[in-house]
Parts: sequence; C-alpha cells; structure tokens
Amino acid sequence: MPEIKNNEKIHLSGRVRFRAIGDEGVMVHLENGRAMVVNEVGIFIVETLGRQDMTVAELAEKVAGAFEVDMDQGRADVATFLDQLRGEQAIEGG
Amino acid sequence: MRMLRDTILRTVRARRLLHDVTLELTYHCNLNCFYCYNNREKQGTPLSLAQYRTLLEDLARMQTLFLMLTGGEPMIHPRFFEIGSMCRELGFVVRVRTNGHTLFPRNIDRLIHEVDPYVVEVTLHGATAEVHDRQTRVPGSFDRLIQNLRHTRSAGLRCSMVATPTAWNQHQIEKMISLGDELDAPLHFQGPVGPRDNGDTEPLSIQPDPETWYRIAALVEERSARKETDGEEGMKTDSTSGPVDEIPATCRVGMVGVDIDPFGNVQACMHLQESAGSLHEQSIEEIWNHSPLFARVRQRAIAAAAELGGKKPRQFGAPLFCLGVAENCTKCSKNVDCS
Repeated sequence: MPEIKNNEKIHLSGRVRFRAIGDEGVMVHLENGRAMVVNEVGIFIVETLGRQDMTVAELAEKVAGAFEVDMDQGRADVATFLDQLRGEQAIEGG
Repeated sequence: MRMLRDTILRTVRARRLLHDVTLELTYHCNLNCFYCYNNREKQGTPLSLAQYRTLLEDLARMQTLFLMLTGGEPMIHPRFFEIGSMCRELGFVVRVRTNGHTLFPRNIDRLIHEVDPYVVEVTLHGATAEVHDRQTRVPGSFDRLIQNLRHTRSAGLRCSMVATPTAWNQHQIEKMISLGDELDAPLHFQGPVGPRDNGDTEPLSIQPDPETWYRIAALVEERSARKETDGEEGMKTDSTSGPVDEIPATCRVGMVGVDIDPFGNVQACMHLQESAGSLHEQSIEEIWNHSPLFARVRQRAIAAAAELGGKKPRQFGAPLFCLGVAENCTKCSKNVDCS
C-alpha cells in the first residue's frame, strides 16, 4: 500500500481480527497468519478503524481526545502506528 | 507491535479471560472412525441458531478471540454456514476442524466467502486409501479427502492436518508427514487413542507400539531443527500454547478456554464431560465467571503434575497427561490395563 495521503480515508483490512486484552490488544492477520500485540493507543486506533473509515487527521483528533494529548502528539502517534499497520498490510485506503 | 505468545498469554491468564472456545456443533458424522471418542448416545436439546447468536455476541463482548468449530463433523450441521458467518461478522479467528469429506468446491467457496477461517484442519488416518479407509470405515474416504484438500488449497485456504497414531497407521508415519508436505497442509500429531467419552475401551485395541511416539518426537524435533536452519518458523502452536505456567499443571484446563457441546453444556475440556452450566439456563459469562468447576479441574491438573514430581508425563505412550482420558478410564468396567 502506498503512503497514506492526509485526506485519504483509511480502514482496517477485512482480513484482520482483533480483541482488547487488558490494556493491550491482539491482532491476527488471516492472510499471513501473523499475530501481534499492540499497546493501548494501538488497539484504540485498530478498533476505531474497524468501525469506520477515517482520515489520518480525523484519527489523530480521536486519539488526542481519548488520551488527553495535544494534536501534534496525537498526529505523531497515529503516523507511527499507521506506518506499522501499513507494513503489516492491515489497513486499506480509499 | 510485538509478536503474540508470551506477553498476551500472560495477561490472558492473569485476568482469567476466556480467550479460546471450542464449539462442538454436532456429534453426527459422515464417517465412522474406529477410535472416535465422541459419545454419540449423549442426549440433549441442541442449541438453536438464536442461541448461537447470543453466545457468540457474548463471547465477542468478553473479548474471546479464538473459536474452533468442530464436532462430530461440523460441516454437516444444518446451520454450519450461518454459524460460521456469525463468527466472521463478530470478528473471531476461526479454525474449522473437519474430516474433509464435504469440502466440495461449492462448500469451499462458501467457507471462503461466508466463514473466512484462519485455517481448515482436516483429519488424516493414513498415507494410503487402504489404511485411511480402514480407520474411517468408509470406502473412498481417502481419495475424496485428498481431492478435496487439493481443491481447498488451490482456492487459497490455509490447511493443516492432524493424525492420531494407531497400530494400523504407525508404519506410515513418515509417509503421512510427506503427504502433508506435498499437499501444503502440515501434519501435526495428536493423541493418544483413549477410551471413548462414555468409557468404552474398544479404541484401545489399536494403540500404537510405545516406540511409535518416540519416533514421532524424534521426527518432529528433526524437522523443527531443519526449519530453524532454513530460517523458517518452527511448528506453530495454538493459542493456549506458550510460556510455561506459573504453577506446574499437566495442561491448561480451566484457565483460558472452554468446550461447548452441541446441547449447550459448557465443559472445561471436550474430554471432561462434567458440565459447568447449561447455555439453555445461563449465559456463557455467568458460567465462566461463577462456575466452581474451572477452579476444581485446574486444581486437578496441578495435583496431577505434582504427582508426576517433575517426570515427563506419558499416557498410553503419548507425551502428555489428559485428565479427560484418565477420567474416561475410570468409567471403564472392563479389565483393561490403562497404566
């Protein structure tokens, strides 16, 4: 998947399954069989993208609101995590 | 992001989350395997589709991730695809354990689009029709399985095979492993052949020679080492495998998973027939959180480990100790040596 544009709506791949486990989360990609543990912010992003399509900015706003961090921090957290999800082919654009 | 295993399983156990559920959808089967452990005389009111929906919604809310659909033969349950579709919709990682007899192209297509399982696990009884069909007691079942498995793999579904070593197939262990490799459906061994869940000891007559299990262990070890050398991952394990338990126990019964029989009885394990509660009367959440059965069987697994005193368990030659198999032996009225 190419780099995500700011105004592009993204969503979780339909082939990803996830659950919150305590303060963390676990994700399983049915395609490659990989299972991963994600932190609290990570599972929040995964759950949000599992519910609805969002742009990076919308997602950052949600993260900033939920975890009481400023928008810059929220945007940075989201960008880092989305890069990892992209590498795992766990998100799709459009 | 980190790989699963240790961390998450530690959390699952510490919080006693119901992480892994086996749904035995039916005890009916289209094969007639000689050593089948299911008690087909077990009676009850089967769960309805609406009850399965309630159960699955509850499990999703409880953050259960792994579901195994099994039986009997799960794919002959009249509502199999509807139940499987609910599992998909509610976000479970689904394993379908089937004998493969009905994995026709149309059913494969429905599996992909309606259930989207993580893996389809089929049962292999031998490397040739002569041996396989002898155990299933259905002529033609081997050829049909192999054909169906080829179709399933070529449709892109991940497959694996499980085999139980017996006196009838022990001379084909290596060939069975090779067949799994050829079909791109890695073979795992399970066992031992034990008494049926109603205590019937007939299956014990086809126990493999004790050295068969040692041969299998050596083969598995050799293959794991080869895969590590080749840079491949070792054999994958299920979600309940992983780090060593904090308190030694013979298995993880009562800790992270349950088995639900076709009649809604919630059991700690598919071989331990005592019910923790009925889904006709209580929700899964009530049963999991309040039944004393789980703590009781957990204590039994701990006590069994203590009795072993650090020795590696062996049960009918297999490198494990299953409380259910041990319990089924006590139901036996025949004079059989189960030591």
